[in-house]
Amino acid sequence: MKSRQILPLLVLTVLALTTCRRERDVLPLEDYYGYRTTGNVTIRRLGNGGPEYYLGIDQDSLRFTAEARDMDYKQVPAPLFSYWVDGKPMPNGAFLPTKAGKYNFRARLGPKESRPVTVEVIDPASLISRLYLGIRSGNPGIAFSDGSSRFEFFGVAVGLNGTSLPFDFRPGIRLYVDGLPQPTLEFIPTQEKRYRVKLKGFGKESNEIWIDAHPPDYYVTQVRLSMVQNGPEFQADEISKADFRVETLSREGRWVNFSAQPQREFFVDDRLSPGLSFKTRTPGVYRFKAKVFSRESNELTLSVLPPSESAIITIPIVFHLFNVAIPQAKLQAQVDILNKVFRDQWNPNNNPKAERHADLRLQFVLADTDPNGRPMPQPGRDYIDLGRARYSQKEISDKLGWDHYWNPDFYLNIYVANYTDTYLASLKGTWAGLGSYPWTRVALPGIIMVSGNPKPDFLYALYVIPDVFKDNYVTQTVIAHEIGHLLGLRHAFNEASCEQDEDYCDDTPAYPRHQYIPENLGTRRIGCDGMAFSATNFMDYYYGYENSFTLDQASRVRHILNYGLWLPTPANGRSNSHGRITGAPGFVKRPPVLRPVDWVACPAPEARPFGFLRRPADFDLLKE
Amino acid sequence: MQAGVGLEIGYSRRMAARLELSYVRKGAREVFGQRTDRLEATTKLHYAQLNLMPLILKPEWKRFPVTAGFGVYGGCLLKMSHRYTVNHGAVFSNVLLSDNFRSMDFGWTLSLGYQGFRLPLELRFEAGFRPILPSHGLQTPLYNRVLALHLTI
Ligand SMILES: [Zn+2]
Repeated sequence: MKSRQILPLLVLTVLALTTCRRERDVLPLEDYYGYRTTGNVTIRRLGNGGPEYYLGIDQDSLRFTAEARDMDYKQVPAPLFSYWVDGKPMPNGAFLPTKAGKYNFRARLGPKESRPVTVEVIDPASLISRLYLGIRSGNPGIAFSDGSSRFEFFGVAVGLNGTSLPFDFRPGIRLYVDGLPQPTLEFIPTQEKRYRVKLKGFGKESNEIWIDAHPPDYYVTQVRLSMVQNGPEFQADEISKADFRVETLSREGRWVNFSAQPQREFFVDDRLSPGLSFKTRTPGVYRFKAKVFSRESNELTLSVLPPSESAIITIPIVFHLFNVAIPQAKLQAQVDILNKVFRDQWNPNNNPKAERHADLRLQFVLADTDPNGRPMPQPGRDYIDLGRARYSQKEISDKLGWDHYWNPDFYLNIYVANYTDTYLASLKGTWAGLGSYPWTRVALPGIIMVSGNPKPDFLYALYVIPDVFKDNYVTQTVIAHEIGHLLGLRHAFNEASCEQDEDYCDDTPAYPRHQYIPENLGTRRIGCDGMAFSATNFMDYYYGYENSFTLDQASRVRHILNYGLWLPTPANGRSNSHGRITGAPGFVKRPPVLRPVDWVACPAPEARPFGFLRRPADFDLLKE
Repeated sequence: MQAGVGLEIGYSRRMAARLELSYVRKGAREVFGQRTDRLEATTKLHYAQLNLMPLILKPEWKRFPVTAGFGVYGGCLLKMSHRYTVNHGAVFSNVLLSDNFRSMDFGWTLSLGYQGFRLPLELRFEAGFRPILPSHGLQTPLYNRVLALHLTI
């Protein structure tokens, strides 16, 4: 037996191998231990729409994304999240809801899980009480069977409370013609027959619209031309305006308004004219004629007088001050501003005006006589103390205002109060002024026409907040803007889209309202025709030069002064030119039932304190 | 890779014990998958390791001079690194991960040697007693498992 030996060794590994996992096995990602250093995970829903609800079943997937930070709060690079809906895996972070309900969405990275995002999925069908089908363009009274008539429809999903719903339901609704689904909301008749059109969607069907298509000449056995002019005298001032209508007699003996072009032609002195309205700067006698399918209409003539100044109309104003103490000097200052605005003289910063800026030949005075015929110690001032500081516009237009509604055939009533209504949620905040449109005895596009001499069944007046009396450029012309509404002018921009110029005035460039973003707009606008322009119109919103009415607007206002109801105009028996009131005009009583009115609410700029607004000097001046 | 020094104490011609101190680099390349995504990770662990083989048998078959030993080891984690790439993209390294690994690893060793060449060869298998990473959450806990060919000078 040998003695014990102690041997020093140098051990050298030639080959060191691995943990026993085989190299190319793909392991489940949950086993990846590198994500143990994840500090936190957040999940976010992609796309627009409110984060907390989603409208739609079987329509579109909800999509999510996530972000992870490590323990040092650095972003984890290239994280492979797993997504979970109510504890079940959700591949690719997408989830197609097939049932209404509340869902919790989470993202996970390694051992860390995000806090859930809860989305309530709503079945649109559960919100809809019915579908309504309407016609956006095309006249169902005249449908040609030769493929030249095009109809465009629109749908409204009516909610359970009877209002149209503020969601986009279009993806779930289809147009059906004679039971066949159509790819779009358009339809072109190609046969002589009755087409039945309706909408279907969300398990509901809309009303049905019938379109009777005939060959074009079916509608034209006779052609009739008629005319509406906007003043008793037609002057060559480009304000006086005549609008024409072409009607044809169909074979079934029905007069139809025939506007389809190019079959309808309109001639002024035997020259083809593009529109159906007429204005001029040249006096003389004009002849008008229309042709439809070469069938001629009757001829109309119009004597156009040399341009003389149309009468200046003076309107007495009464300010009903509901517990707001506006100094008398401020009331007068506001009237002074109106007298510049409506005489084309208001441009305090000497900015460029609209090319076709116009003098509306309208002036204002503070009323000097009250409804009982007594001289007013403080003209135009009707202070009303009801012992509280704030009022809703609804209570004033429903009740309180009627107790102080001075006969509108003698006065322009302006109700001033600290209003509580935000009125339209979309306006975010309060409105500065609220108006309504007039009624007329002779047709004017966009204005309600009546015959006779009805009493108002809504409080036709203006409503403004006290701030409009401040010396601030953007609010000084609010009352002028509201008087514009009261005299038939619409906003210069388009409320909805660019499909038509919604203010019926060609010389006020239309632009879509959503473009009006006060923060960064300045005076710049991009019109529906794609052309940039500077906003100058009083009927635009605040961030503009606010220095012009146009000739087309003057024409509309003149029409209302000639034919409008409930205004202190010569047409309504006020023949004075200096606004002096004689006799005792009295009050107009509230009728038992009031007409619901879509008031035109014109916002205060984002409801911020007016003092913070930029002065016009800082506005971007558009260089064209 | 591993290198170290050892002391061998012979009980008899056929039995010995051995104590070794070595530097060992262990590591793994792994692929993790979730649907079509692939994450490839490379982990490298550097240990200072003490091996104790209380019994090495040397049967002294003339034709076939083999040895067989059994023992335990304890390793102290000196350093670790972790890199990964997702779908063959950029390579990222995760420096925070080393805090998650256990600083000590204990295990057993099995060794088979061949002494027929000038330098004795030894095939050795090592296995840790407990996962080197606390296993919470992982379906397959991570153990050290090493198969190595040793060359003794
Ligand atoms: Zn307005």
